[in-house]
Amino acid sequence: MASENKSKVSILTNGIIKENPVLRLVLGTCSCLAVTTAVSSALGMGAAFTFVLVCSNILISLLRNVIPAKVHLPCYIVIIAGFVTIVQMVMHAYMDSLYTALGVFLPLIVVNCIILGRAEMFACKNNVVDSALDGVGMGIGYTLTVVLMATIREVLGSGTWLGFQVLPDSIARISIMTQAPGAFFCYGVLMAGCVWLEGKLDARIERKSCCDIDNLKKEG
Amino acid sequence: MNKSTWESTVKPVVVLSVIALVVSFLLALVNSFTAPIIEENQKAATLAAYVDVMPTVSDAKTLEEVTDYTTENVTGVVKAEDGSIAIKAEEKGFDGGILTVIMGYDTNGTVTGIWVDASTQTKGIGSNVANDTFLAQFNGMDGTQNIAIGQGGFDAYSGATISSKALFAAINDCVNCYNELA
Repeated sequence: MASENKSKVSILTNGIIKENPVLRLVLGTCSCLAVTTAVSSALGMGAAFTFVLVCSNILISLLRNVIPAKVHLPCYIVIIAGFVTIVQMVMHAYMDSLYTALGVFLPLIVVNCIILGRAEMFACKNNVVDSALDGVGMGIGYTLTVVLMATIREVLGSGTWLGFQVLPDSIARISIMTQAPGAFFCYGVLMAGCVWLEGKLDARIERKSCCDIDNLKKEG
Repeated sequence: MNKSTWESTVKPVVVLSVIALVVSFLLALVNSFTAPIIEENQKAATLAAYVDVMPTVSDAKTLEEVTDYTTENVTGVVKAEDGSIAIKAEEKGFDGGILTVIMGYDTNGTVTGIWVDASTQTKGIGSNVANDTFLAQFNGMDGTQNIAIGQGGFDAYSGATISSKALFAAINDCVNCYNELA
């Protein structure tokens, strides 16, 4: 029982450092680079993303024995698109400013490779509880990463955090941080930081490709 | 029907159809809840924009809707108690995105304010036509005369030609509608 609990915890925490979807699996980078100009939109995107990921993971895991292999991708896309559209409609109704800030990247969650990737790699092979935990963990990992990136970019680029001014006007803004090249600088540094942190935590793992993850799981 | 045809051909079709149906039903359900709220929000936003361009109006409730106009692309007209009016026009901008313009008029036909929603245009390029400093050139213009890019001191936003053209077209729609109603 103890080991089972431990594996549940590790499913949850995998997404934060060891299998961080953005920094280690390098998935979903498009939205990650785009929405991180402001902390508020990064938080909103992270929440919307986590909701869709958890829901789609649960549903796909529930239906994993029903969906025939031949049509599994269309089925996943329909399910994911359904949840994304629900989030979109609810957000448009109750959080109009966030809806405007996220713009096209909200509907693009449908084709976000993290969600499809977790459906393919995890939810279709594991039970509902594990899949939900995996969704939560990956969602937290994604949200933490985009918020961290947005913090660096917003503070350096605009001198604000969540809209509040944190740098005095006398310090020059590095405006390139709010643009695409700044996103890449930030992304590279964070990726390196994640690898370094992993070494510090004494949990260094071999550089892996996506398809190796299943093998790693089997080995425990 | 033998078992293999069911497994290989019919079952995938049935499962995908059922999933699509259930998802569509769910979406319709959520939409029936959110659509009225979204519409109400948009109405409130439009009313706030009307008030924004009419310096003599402070409460949207005092505005009266005008419907007897025929100018194309004009989607709404309101009249205030003191006779000043605001006209809303929509034009297709970049890639078919709708650019919305609201112009406020005082009783002499002078433009008292302009409000532009360019959120459908490319961010950082076409969306610039909604910048306040750019729009300042239209404040106080004679709202009974059509305008053109590069004439009479009116300029396009450089780099945003298509959105600027849509903006000028929408302004001219407002001018035409004002002349029709005057």
